[in-house]
Amino acid sequence: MDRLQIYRKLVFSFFCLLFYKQEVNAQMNYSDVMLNIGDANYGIFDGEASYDEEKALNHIRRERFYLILPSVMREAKVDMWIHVIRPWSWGGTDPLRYEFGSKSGVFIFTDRGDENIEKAVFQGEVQDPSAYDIIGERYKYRSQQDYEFMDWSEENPGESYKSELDFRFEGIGEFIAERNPKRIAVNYMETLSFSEGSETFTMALTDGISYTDYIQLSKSLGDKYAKRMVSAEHLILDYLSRRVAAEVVLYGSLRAQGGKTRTFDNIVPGVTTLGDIGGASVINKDGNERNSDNYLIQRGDLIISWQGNAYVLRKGEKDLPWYVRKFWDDDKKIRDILRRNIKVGLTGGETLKLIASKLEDAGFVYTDYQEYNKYINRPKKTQVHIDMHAEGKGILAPRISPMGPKWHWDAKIRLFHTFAVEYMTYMYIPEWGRANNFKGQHLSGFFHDGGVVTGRGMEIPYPDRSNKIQIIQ
Amino acid sequence: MNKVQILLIFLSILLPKNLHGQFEEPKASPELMKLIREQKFDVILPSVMRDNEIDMWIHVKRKPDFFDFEFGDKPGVYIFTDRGGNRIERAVLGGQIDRDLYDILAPESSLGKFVSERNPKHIALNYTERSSSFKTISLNDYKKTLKTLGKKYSKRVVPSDRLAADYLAGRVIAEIALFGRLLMISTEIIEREFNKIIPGKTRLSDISGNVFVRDYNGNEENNTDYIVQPGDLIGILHDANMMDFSEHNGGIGYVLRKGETNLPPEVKRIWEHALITRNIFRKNITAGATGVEQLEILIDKLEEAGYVYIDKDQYDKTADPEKTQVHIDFHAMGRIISQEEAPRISPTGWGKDLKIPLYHTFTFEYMIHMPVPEFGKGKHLYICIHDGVIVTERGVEFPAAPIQGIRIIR
Repeated sequence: MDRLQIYRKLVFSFFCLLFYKQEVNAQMNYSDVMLNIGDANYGIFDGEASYDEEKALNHIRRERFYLILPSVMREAKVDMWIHVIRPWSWGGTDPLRYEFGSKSGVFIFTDRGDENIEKAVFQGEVQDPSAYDIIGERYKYRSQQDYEFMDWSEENPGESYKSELDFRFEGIGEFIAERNPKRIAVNYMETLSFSEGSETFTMALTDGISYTDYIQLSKSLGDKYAKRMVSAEHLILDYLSRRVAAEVVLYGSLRAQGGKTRTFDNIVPGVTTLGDIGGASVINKDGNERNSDNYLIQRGDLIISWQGNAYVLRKGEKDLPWYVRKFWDDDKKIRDILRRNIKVGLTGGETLKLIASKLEDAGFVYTDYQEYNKYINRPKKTQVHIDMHAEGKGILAPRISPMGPKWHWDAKIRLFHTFAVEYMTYMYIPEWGRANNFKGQHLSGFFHDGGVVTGRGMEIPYPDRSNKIQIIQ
Repeated sequence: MNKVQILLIFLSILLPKNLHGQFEEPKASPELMKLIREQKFDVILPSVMRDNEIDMWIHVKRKPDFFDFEFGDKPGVYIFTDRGGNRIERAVLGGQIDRDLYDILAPESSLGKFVSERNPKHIALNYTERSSSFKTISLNDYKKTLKTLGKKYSKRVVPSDRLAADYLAGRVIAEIALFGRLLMISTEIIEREFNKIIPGKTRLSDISGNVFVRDYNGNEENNTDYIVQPGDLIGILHDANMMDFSEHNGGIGYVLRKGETNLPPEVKRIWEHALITRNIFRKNITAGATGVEQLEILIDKLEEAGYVYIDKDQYDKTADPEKTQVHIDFHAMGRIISQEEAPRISPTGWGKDLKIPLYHTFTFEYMIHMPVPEFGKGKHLYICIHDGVIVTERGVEFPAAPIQGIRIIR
């Protein structure tokens, strides 16, 4: 092997190891308490962020306890909230594991009339104990299959270890009686269903407690307080759907560097293929989509990609054809309508109604369907469909959309609501219709950017999809 | 595998984790800058022009100036006109501009006609009658502009400093996200700087940022060659920036003395005061009041809670020796031309008379001077807290984690 080859090999090995090292670091950062973080579709916590996730989560938790917890409990007329996460489930699908910073425990929040809610945790391990006022008995549960139990058996010969059911709610009855709550919200479902709650269909958003736990908790509470239990389902959803400023920071800053506008340089009509440029499709001059890698880009083609668009001028054309210009002008108008009409305090459903009417006033056709409706008797009008669902916590509500269950629409839009600015537009183009025997050829756009609702309306936290059209001569 | 390859493996393992990660300041990408400019024009501009009763704002720009961040860096005569409705008309005469951001591009020679067609009642121009960083127009341009406007409209010209200060102080959500991100970065940098300290060896000047130590008599060493000693309470302030959007943040460390394993009682006590006063500030700041009005409220609340408010960052020997003294300088952060010329909850600065806008990004900068009678008459401990905050409809929020405690340096 000559010296050059050795040098090349060494450089190659170094870079392989460098990337391996970064990967290993990422895995080592993956805190056990927050395991499954990526699976939960939390969105902003993926184990790969450039900031310290544990610190960010701890901070958000405290801010939420301080700013949000009192109002959601008082608005729900609940003076005690008990949330049980079973230790053997490892909190895998519990929707509040980030909010509470734990994968197991009995969490009790009591409104004792002070400015803040009293926060207690029993039989649990929490990531940030200082976020709680009372840390009760620590996690006693031991799996009878693990080494801890084997150690215990060795140290206590002849004794049989108590079942977790013997102590999970130990002392809770007295704790509750001392506080004498009128309404105790507990994490079981009453009127909602699994699929309604979660964006991923994997998180049991409002359901957590098992029948056994319910019985054990009821026993511990005694008749007097067991009768005061109510479902926490709406309280949980309300707590999840509200945001503090620190969450907006994560939501906005993570994508702030995204949204770069793509340019399509060096395209030679009739020579360059879609495969050459990659990641784009074409709508040809007759309105037909082409996406094969072998397709030769032609004059009159509209090149569409997520990061940017381009139009290849036809012979004699000096500017964009009317329909391309109108499509993006319409988009600006639609965004302006959204910006001015999404407000704190309205429900998702009320907002949808309002936006639909503003769209109609502005000359659009609002459609409940996520496809072009060729039977609408106003073919010259651009059709708009909206599905602006919540983002950031795997929960879709409040949802400004005709889709989803009723409670999604009934949920109120709160300060700093983070959501997808998701809408579709369908514009009929007569020239394309004529070229295709009037089969309803249209230009459609799918938009999915981010939005935050402030006291001033809808604002944009990070650069959205580029609406720049590059003109290719 | 040969020896060199083995060495390389070790070297790669020793590389710092997240090589491009935590301390990297965000880049001002064209897309992000366009978003911020557009959002500020849409969301902030109409309200600040109406609040200031200005229906035309002329900003003459011949070279890059502080408003590059908001307007773009090209020279030209920037004119914003309130013609009613939801938005402000944006025009540039005699410049090159982003056509997506501005409605009108016209030659500078049309200035007189442009203004008279719009017939504004109050025209703000980028000059001031006092010494100010907002005075960005040259004398020549000032005279030329007034001449072009003619007698009728030149009489309607007023300084734009107040309007410009309000515009800079208005934050859109993309700026709030940026502010929080920068706070996280400076917090990480401050931690890194604390980790460098070796008592008895490290000089304050070896540490990056604004680094200071005060003794029990209030004498300060600030970025000097003073060598860090056991018993020192060290403050570090450090900034993080994206273009001209900047913030700075603070941390505090205590160097353990021989035999100490934890913070001594007096240091724990001063930290308790930091938390109590933080809560007072958090509960009593709202958008809408001026800085000076807000300061009065905070002084009352501090005094109700048993503190002595001091208007200088200096221990007052004449005050009640039992009481802890607190100084406040809640200056703006983010886009500020200077701390003095931005909304400020503080006894000093032109900006103290400006209104605190909703979503104002500023600092909880307060200094605690706590008497320690057991050390002798007049002896006191000093800490400076410096956390980034934002005022929302709910009060004060921390967009990123504030200082969590006084860190121990062994």
